[in-house]
Amino acid sequence: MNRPHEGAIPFQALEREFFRLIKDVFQAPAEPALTPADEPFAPPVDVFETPEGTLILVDLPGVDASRVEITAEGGVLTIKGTRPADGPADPSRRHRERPTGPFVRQVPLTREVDLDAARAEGRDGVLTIRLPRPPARQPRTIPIRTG
Amino acid sequence: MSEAHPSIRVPLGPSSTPPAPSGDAAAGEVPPLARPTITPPIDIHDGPEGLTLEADLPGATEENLIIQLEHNVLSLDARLVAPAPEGARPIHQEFPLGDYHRSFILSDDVDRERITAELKNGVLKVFLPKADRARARRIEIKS
Repeated sequence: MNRPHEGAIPFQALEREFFRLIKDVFQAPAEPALTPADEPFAPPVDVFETPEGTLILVDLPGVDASRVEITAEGGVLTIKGTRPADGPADPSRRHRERPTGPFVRQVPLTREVDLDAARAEGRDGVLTIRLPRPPARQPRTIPIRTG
Repeated sequence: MSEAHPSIRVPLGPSSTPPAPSGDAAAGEVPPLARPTITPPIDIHDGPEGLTLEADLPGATEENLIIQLEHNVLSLDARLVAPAPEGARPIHQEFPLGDYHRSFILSDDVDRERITAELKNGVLKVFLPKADRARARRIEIKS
């Protein structure tokens, strides 16, 4: 079972998140979508704790949920994919604000979750990722063989 | 706003039937002040038949989205419902629960009776067809 544990904090991922947050704070919110073409955009993420587990909501309008890649490694959940441009080619465009192209977000998993039971679904442009709590550990009886 | 111009609600869906004018309660709804207003990002592109407007409205549904045309102002409003179940504790929130709002001034070239809208996967597409008089600019010259 993949389980986040202390001591395996991926600094790179957190560092990236940190700088992204700094950028978000200091950048004027007027043009959030105009990131360079190569640089992935960061869709907004909400994280909730529920009695059943951790609930992560990612705003991904126009993205087919089945084409989103969700991976967990070292206590960090990575959500990535590409949002296709859905309008006509550039010459006819007049005004563009919506982000397209590659996107990536990383969410540190602060609570223990059962990744084997994780479920994700897309609805109305919102990707919902459910990470249930691991089942309570059963007291285990160790059989003693004699003979 | 004068009563002489009742607002027009644009029906969602690919149908091209002209919207029925209605001056009902939905026209004057004002969201409570406690909820933040979110300005959705939009794209507008021009085509031979008219303008296409696309807005990112994640979480919006046909039930909570209202598109209105009042005078020459087209407005989009959607009231989001809480995405998380009761009792969920927010750990990190970047997308406040609020109301989408954005409005546009339409030129006279838009045929208001044939505006159509479609909502799919959190993306709203509004097609604003050009009025015939704006499309046909060729003038026959009789000799």
